[in-house]
Amino acid sequence: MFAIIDHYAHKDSWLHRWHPLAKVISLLACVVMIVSLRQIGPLALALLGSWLLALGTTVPARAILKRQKVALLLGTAVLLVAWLTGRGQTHWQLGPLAVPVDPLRAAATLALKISSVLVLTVPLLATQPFFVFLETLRRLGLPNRMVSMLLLMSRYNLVLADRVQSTLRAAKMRGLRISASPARLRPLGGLFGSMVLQSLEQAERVDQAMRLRGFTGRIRTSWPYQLRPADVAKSAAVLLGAAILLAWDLWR
Amino acid sequence: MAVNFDIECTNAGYQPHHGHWVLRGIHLTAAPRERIAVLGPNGAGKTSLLHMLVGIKPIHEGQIRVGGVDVSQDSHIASIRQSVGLIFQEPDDQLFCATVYEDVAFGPRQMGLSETVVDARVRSTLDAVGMADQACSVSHHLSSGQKRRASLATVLVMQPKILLLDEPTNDLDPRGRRMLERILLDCPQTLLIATHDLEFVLRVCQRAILLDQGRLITDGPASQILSDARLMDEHGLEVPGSLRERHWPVSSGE
Repeated sequence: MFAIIDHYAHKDSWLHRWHPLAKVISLLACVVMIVSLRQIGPLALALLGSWLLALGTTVPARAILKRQKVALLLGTAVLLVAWLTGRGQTHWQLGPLAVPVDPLRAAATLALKISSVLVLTVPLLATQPFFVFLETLRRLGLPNRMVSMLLLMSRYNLVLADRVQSTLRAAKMRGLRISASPARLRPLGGLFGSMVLQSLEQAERVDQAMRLRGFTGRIRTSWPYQLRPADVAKSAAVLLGAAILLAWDLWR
Repeated sequence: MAVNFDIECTNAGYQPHHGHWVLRGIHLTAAPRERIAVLGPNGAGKTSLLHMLVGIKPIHEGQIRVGGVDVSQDSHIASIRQSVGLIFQEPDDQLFCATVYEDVAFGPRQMGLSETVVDARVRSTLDAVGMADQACSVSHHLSSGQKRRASLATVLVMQPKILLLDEPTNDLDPRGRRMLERILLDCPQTLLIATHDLEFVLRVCQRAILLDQGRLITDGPASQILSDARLMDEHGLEVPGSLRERHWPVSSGE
């Protein structure tokens, strides 16, 4: 999620030039519409549309593909549960593998929905500086505290991941073996406890650093944007596409 | 004639949770543009002193005035923080935005400056610390030296009158340290540098204070304090190598 933030914000595309407020409102509306879809056909088209938008951002296809893993994993999990529980009328059979058709559809629907939404986060997050995205959310009514939390999460998830990795490496060097037995899980609990404490201390220091630089609860950012007819046209086109899919899904 | 000091500590003390005194009876003055090293073993109270000067830690005894303003009064804190910049020991605490540019721009934007002024300040500051080509870099991916310079830029961009630096040479290779030395020697600010890097002190600071167990032990010219082997030894420090060589030249062998 955070890997694309600010990496591609300085590039140029029609999505980068789209007014942030219009873009965020339109894409969030698309997300809601995609989540409401129930049929495989409209969902497949929604995924295609999301991909077209994501490819327009100049983010490499490989980085976008990485986002599909979660959807595939969840879809497979639903499929596996359905196969093991064996409910529903069997329609699809390959040798000994029989998959009930309703759970198969459920798994595909879930995978397509998650895929489309994850791909849509690419134009949502990668086409403007993260500060601008946060300011957009604030203008849409997100409380200042949440905005600050999102900013810090985007920065410190990487620091925390590094810390977890190095702590685990150090513990393994000193003989830690990770297994399911309670005796072996106990030191792991202690390690994570100390990491939580370290993170709390760091949070305090970051708060001090922010206050020393004038932070009083609201992050100020530049907002050199003006809504132009082209922005409205872009929003209308994207929302129209999503509305057509929704209508198709409802009356099919 | 009265001297206007940038920093005036009078009998200042800090006692967290009513326990033992971390700092007590600190008398210190710093004239404009002075470069002062704060020396002492671990736990001497160096970081606490810097934090008291910007109001992060409370003053439980005595008085601290920064730029003539009393630090202990809450109503003065905002103005003091505009005139004093603190660089934390750990750059990751200071770089909380995703990119270097956003981090450096954070302070000026919070001050309510126009975007044109913010941009001009950010670019000139990044240029001054040799980070102009890293403006769009993600902070997390910078090297230790670059993080150190970026965190210096986040403070310099606010154009403070006084700079407080906590262990600024930690994690720096010799080249990074030389670059930091050059930047600090060019700084027009009053500098207070808490450090264990005594060679760095010799090159950058004219004056040093020595703290131990929360007490101010001595205050004087840096080279004089650092060359006092007995004093240094008594307080868990060592005479820097360059001064030792000057007094006892290393034998060439044969």
